[in-house]
Amino acid sequence: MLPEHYFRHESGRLVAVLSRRFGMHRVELCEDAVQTALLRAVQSWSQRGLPDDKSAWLYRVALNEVLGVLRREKRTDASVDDTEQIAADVVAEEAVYLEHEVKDDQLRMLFVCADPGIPRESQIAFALKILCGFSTEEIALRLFHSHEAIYKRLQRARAALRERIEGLEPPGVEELASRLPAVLEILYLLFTEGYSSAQPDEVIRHELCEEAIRLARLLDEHPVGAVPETAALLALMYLDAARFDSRVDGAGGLLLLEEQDRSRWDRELIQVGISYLHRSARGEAFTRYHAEAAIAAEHCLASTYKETRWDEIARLYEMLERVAPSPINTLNRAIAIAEWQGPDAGLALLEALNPPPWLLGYYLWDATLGELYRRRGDRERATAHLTRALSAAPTHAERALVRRRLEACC
Amino acid sequence: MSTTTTKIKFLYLYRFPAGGAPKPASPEEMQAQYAAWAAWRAKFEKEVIPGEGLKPGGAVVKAGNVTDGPYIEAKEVMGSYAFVETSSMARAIEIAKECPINTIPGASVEIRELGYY
Repeated sequence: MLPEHYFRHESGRLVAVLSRRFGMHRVELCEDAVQTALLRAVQSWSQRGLPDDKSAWLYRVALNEVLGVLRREKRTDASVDDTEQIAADVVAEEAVYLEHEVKDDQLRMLFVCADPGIPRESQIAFALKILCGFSTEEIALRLFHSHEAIYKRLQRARAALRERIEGLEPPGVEELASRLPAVLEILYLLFTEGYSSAQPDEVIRHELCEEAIRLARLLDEHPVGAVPETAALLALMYLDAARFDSRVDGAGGLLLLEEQDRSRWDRELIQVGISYLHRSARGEAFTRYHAEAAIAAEHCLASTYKETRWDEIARLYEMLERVAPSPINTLNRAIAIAEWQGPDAGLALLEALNPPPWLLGYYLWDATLGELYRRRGDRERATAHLTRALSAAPTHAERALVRRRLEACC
Repeated sequence: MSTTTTKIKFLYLYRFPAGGAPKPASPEEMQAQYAAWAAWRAKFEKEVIPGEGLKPGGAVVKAGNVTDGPYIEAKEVMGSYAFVETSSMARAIEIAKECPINTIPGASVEIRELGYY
């Protein structure tokens, strides 16, 4: 039996290793070679069973494939440099596959994905392709976009990389350390995409969260990546992941935090998250990941909804707003304040806010106002806001959630 | 002495469309393909004896003339083979019907009994 996602993960590892050896400008050639190696593996392993060292087997086949293409290129195109051929031959002789090198290579690839010349959305699609081994179709399904849109994003990433990386020697992870904030943001967005996207398939969303955690742990194992910010991001991921399954009822309907069965929260994941949170407290840095992880920890450690330390959560949201100003964070702070000091205090904060047009079109804005007015006993305003929220809710599950609130109101 | 029934030897010839697979599979899909084959092999491990894969290319010698093989104009190519030792042709067909090759568009498995008259 192969481990789950073995081919997909192995594809990410092999593309990273080969691209380092043959140059980032040959990344497409390396991807094709890995695809061929996996195909041959299916044919051979299906009949003869698994070889003793599967990874070395795949590496050898993919390496020979790259070398074969390079030799054919050289035969037809005299401009292909001889030094490249020599480099290739040297590589063939030391065809080793060292575990720590592979990790370094994958990490380097992650930093390459974070190239400032690539738009963020293309960076994420490219990371899913190159590091996680998803096909264009699978990425389209996961990011909830059309196949064409994802194809274009991937092409944009490749074009930017071709322009920027011409030399044979790819930069070391250390040289790319300045890209760490972008790398963290890619992983954060990847996780969020899985945790709260409109994608209805739970398995697919789980998988994105798992990939984000896998790559963040890889980052955390490297001296360049093992900073408090990374620990904070990992804390946030684990503390959220612990509650992943409890957010829906048996029929797939969304549950509010107060309705969730806390016994379904994964205690083991919470423990891991809390230990990362402790590790994140070193040094001076306080990032949005610190604040969001601390908020998640407050929820995870509260034994009931009522016993949640809402004052602490309101304070943390205020800190979050300082490092990551966004009216969404203010909206969340208003919810915490309403739980702590009553609906009037929450409403006062929201009424003082000058919401940008996009927030007015966001269903949670109206849903929150509607709920707070309902608690205050203002049924007319509550109904008006919840009705607006109902028409703005993007998915069936979210509409069902708002409808329940609306029914409680009348 | 055991009283097992005499087994008959068969050859499975796996044929694939000459154009190759219709679309490149993703790594995840390839792993699913592998899993299907592994399960099939495990289920019939007492009867199916895997052969070798056949690499592309080769040569054909006909009336002393050599041409590139295999059969450039052919619509399908032999991909690999296996031996099957089982009780009857009916049983060999039964096993082949469950073979994952059935899920590959245009692919087939030809079953031949081994031996001379």
